[in-house]
Amino acid sequence: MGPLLAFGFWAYVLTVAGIYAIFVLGLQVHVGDTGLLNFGHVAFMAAGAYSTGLMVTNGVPLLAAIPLAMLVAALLGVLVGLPTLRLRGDYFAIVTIAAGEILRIMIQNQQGATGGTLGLRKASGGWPSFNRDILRWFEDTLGIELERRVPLLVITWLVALVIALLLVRIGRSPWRRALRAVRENEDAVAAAGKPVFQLKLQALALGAAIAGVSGVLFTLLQTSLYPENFEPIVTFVGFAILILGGIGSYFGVVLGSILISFIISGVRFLDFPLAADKVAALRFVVIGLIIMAVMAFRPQGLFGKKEELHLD
Amino acid sequence: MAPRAVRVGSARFRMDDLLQTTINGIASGSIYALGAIGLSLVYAILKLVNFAHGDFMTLGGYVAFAVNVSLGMPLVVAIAAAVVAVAVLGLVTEELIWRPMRKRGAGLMQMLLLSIGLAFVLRNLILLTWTGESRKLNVDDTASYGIGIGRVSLLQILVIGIAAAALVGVGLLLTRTYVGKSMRALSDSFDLAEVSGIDTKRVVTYTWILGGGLAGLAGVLAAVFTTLTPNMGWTLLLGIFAAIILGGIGNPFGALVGGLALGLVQEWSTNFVEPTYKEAIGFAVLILALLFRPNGLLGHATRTG
Amino acid sequence: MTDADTILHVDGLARHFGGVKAVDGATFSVKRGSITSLIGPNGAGKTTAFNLVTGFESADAGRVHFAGDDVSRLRADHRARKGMVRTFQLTRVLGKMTVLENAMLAAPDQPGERMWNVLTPRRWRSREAEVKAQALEVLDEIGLSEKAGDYAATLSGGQRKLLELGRALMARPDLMMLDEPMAGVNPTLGRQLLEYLDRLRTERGLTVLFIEHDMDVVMGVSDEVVVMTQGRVLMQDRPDVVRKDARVIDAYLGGADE
Repeated sequence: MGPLLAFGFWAYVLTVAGIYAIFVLGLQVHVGDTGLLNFGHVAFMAAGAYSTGLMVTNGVPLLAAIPLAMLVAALLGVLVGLPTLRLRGDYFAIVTIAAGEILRIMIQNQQGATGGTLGLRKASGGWPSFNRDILRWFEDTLGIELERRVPLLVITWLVALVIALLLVRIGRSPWRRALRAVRENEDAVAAAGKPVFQLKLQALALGAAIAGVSGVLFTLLQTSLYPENFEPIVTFVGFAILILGGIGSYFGVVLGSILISFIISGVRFLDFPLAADKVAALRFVVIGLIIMAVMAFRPQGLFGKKEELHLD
Repeated sequence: MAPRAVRVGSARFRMDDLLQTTINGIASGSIYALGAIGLSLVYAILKLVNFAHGDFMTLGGYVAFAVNVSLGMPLVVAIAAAVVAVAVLGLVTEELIWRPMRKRGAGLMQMLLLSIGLAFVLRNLILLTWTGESRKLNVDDTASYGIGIGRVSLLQILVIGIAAAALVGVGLLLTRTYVGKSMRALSDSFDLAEVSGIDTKRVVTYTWILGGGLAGLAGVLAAVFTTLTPNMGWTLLLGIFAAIILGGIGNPFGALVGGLALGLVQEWSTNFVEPTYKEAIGFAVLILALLFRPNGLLGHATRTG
Repeated sequence: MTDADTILHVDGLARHFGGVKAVDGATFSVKRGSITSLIGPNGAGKTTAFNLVTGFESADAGRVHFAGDDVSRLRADHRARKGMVRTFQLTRVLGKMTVLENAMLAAPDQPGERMWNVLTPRRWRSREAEVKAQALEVLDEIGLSEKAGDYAATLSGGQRKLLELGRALMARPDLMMLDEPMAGVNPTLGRQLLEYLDRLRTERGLTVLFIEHDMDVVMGVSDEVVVMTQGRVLMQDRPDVVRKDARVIDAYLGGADE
């Protein structure tokens, strides 16, 4: 493996990490800020990805498709939330996985529109040619030969940074105080005259829109979309990141996503005396053990505050 | 007798299809029910939402595969081995994980996420050991018998028969024996049961033996009825959760009703829509049911304050 | 049915749990500006009645009129915004938020609680400063100002009761419904609290309805007493009348056997 190829590979791993970071920032709004145990988060990513893909393959320009894709993800959040947000926490968790699976199965079966298991091709629309333009500009004007994955890597992390900064800013608002109060005790919030249901619905929509962004970037990275990209396991990897970084900590999300992405994609690069599928299994054993160890010994995660840990 | 066809949408709906899908529904519903009762008992008594329960089932399936196919022993022995192995797994995780965590005062979510970690570990250890290839147990899957206007396969008879026997056994155990009554007392209030002199540690042990054993059995039956892959239990788990929620969380009898209802709805739906939608239909029914009965079909509104 | 003097009128309220009639056709009213207590033996349905009146549980039957409006169909948070604010017998403090944040949460009319205002602090910063000043004032009155920066989880049981009372006051209630506010609070502070509530009544026209077991407190401060037993209202009258009523004495002795 040459060094250039290796660099391209790491750029890929880090882009995936950035996409996960955005995905989990959305999850943080649900779980960390509002106490909504959303186990179907991947559905919002899928909504962002497939609505981008379906719009661009039907002639909508990519730049117009992106905000619409976020809107679709947010609307899906509202749609899922309306019947489920009044349920008890453990019921909500299961029902959200179910909602995510319903969406995935529908995508899989609507072959005419989505390509089903054969995949939705050219889902990133004008992105590849735009990417080539960027690379050419760098080469022609600055004389720098960029690896082809670098532009998306930079864009992804810029987007992640902007979202994280916005969330930090939102964090100081009375709105988030009300969300945190919902997380602590809904009765107390209702007794204080705050509309609990609306607050939860808004948080669900915001986190869903953020996950929608991760879906857009995923589409740009992969170009083709397959239903199996959006299995429930993605949500649980998101939870592993959230737990490792610390529930309630935005910075923890960033670090957690790099660590976990390295474990998922990165170990492929290391030389194991094992067959590829065994390595694949092994890395999920490691992720499982990390989740267990963090939950047992440091439930607030690496960067969470013990006083604000809300796992009860 | 010529089957009478009725047009419903674009699908042909016939009486024998209804009978056939009913038998299928009872068979898959029995598997959901067996899995759901074990999971529900563990939840009711230990307040643990065990996301590894599906992988417990998978392990049961693979233990049966090892005994039945690799070692060439009869199915009965394989079933017994699977039940014992998963019950032991339950007890081991209780000793190593759940009890120490309860002692530290771990919350519901902390335990739930721990069980997700355990699920990852189990599933992928199974994948490491037996690879991802799909396996079959050594059962004649072609034999079938005509009953009236439909046919019932040997597999269906096996699954429904064994499940029914196990369900009756569990029902008797819970309602007639001291251990069963103690379990139900614990599920009402752990602390109260402890004060009233019930040996809670023993009851917890029995809970894992019963919950794990049922998971093992459900795993073998699922392996007999469908195909055995490392993802089998995880795929079933969501349906099992749906069954429990449909029936009302923490109520083993509700889990039975919920499991059968889910199996039947899924199979019946194949009369009207593509079978690839049947899982989605099951989940949609779950969400719809919760709109009207937020505490499940057999759940009661609990009194607060 | 309701007149200007009545702030709360409850009519035929009922709630069953399975076969148990927790509240079984309760009817009573609370006069504006009064301190009214709700008493009754354990299991009489007082807390359930509170839950039904405030919308935390849905009633099987009956109506609730508040300040002349029928609020029977409104959600709990909506009823609270109309001025009917409650506390809980088992306190609901927000443990992983600070004492100050707990109090600030309940302040009404904060535009910053709307999602689309979060990124434009100029729309809510001045209100936030007001709210903070008010919260510190209330914390001072209930003796918790030293704890303002602490996580509420670190408070003692009595302090939690106080904080919940403070949070309710922050919501600017017209009717304050307190579920056993004195339980676990030290008697001296308890008396101060009563005086504080009495002052709010004169200054702001606050009405208080509270559930209490201590008969000295009940008879000492109440203008009226509502007596519940077995889910029904046995009687409603002045404390001196209630004290002498044979049925009330009976209900308490009968209740002791439960």
